[in-house]
Amino acid sequence: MTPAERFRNAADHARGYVIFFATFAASASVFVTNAAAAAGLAFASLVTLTTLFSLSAVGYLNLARDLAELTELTATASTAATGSHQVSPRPEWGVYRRLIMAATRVLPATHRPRYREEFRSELWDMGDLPRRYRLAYALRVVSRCWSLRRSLPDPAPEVLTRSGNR
Amino acid sequence: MRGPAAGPRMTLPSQLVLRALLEFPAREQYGLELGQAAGLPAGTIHPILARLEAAGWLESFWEQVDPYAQVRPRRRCYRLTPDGAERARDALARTGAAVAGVVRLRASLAGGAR
Repeated sequence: MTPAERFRNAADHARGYVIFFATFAASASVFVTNAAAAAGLAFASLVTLTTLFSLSAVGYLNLARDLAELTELTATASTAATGSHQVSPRPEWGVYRRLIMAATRVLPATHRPRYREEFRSELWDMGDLPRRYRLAYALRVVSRCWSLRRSLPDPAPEVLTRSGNR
Repeated sequence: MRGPAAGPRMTLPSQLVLRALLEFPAREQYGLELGQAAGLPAGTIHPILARLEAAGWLESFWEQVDPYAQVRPRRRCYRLTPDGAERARDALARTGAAVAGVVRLRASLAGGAR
């Protein structure tokens, strides 16, 4: 899938969420008002509102994720359009990136950027291999993140030396 | 609890990684390359490398390339320190029987598969 197609898909996805939640919120508010007014069931209103709030929270989280992806794709597309040099992400990078982000979140904050970049570069080097190899790699990284955390000194030596390239 | 003077734990994967590093002690190798040389699955050697680095046996640094010119992200390279190479040789000499057995078994399996 090209970046333009991914961009369109992400935009459609995000728009779908907005329309869905606007419709859902409007219907739910009518329902809640009617139910509460007609039957005077305060408890039912409370339960409905709680459910509505939970569903909206989940929806907003998904929406935020899609918007983040959309923003990233926009940045990539604009960089490509202006002709500046940028190592563009490979297609289907999202799943692996999320796994790596999850794995590195376990690490001490001072080590996170280094390992994030290192894992990404290794994934990049595996770009010619079938997807299952890359997925296996990302899952192995996740499975060993606690072991890696135990092996790391805190803070990172490069933070102590304040040298960005060591 | 092991103190820093005791050095890193000499597990079998650690020994395989050290052996791979000692084949070319002065060469910079990156994670995937090292994993392949050690015969370990990709993505499993970072805890070992971190232990060796914390013990001062190994140093790591970013590859000095221009990612834009290379059209790929820079790699993290690893290399044994002079002191680390010596200590790694000693450690492998002490615990080398097991890893040598694995290497021999691998070689014979690879030979048999051909």
